[in-house]
Amino acid sequence: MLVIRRHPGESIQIGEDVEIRVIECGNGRVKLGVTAPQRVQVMRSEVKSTREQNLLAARALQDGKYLGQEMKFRNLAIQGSGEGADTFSKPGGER
Amino acid sequence: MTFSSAHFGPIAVDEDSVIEFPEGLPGFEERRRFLPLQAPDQSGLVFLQSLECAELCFLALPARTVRPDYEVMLTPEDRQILALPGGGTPVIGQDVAALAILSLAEEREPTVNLRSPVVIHIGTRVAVQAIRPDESYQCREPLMAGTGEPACS
Repeated sequence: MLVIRRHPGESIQIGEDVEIRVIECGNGRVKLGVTAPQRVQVMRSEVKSTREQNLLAARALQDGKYLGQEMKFRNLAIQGSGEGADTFSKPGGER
Repeated sequence: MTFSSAHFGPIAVDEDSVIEFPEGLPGFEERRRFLPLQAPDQSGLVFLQSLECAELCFLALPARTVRPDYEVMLTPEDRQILALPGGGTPVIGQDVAALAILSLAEEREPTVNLRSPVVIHIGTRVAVQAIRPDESYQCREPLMAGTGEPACS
């Protein structure tokens, strides 16, 4: 990994058209400004990993084994293993 | 209103159950409305069916099903989306619900995303996928044995 020391107000250049500027630092945090063309996606690393995980997770239900099941609405106030009556009173799964 | 899900067929939509993600989810920014469902034989699992895309349905587990001591940790931005006042930790089951999205892939062990739980304000059903500012949990946490999750067996 390339390590560069910069002061607030200074910047680094990546390639021809990406610039990252240190806007301020302190309190254990750094505020960065990124200038990049539209085609370059800029996001926090944890958003990127969450995004990748979501795209993978969206494929979990591909086998169709729940097709036609009597689904019920889930009461979100109930936490834990889901034992017992934890549905809303209105039935779901109209067929 | 009835919605036709690619996974379950037609489902009657109870507007009072719909949860709303004002900013969508990373990777699905345009998907704002989801319906939490459960199958009668798998009452622990939560199916988050998109009401805008028939094919999109996440599987999730309450975070405390996976880790009984789980607490949410919100950034100021996420607190603002949920309209939760600053200060103390929102209480799971009282202020918010916390769901961990499940990943099932044939070639891999099932994992849950405890780094970025879906946090739902119980009163308003406004939700956000809240990426924790700390690193106590990962996006791919293994499901521990004995959680009652059928995918484990």
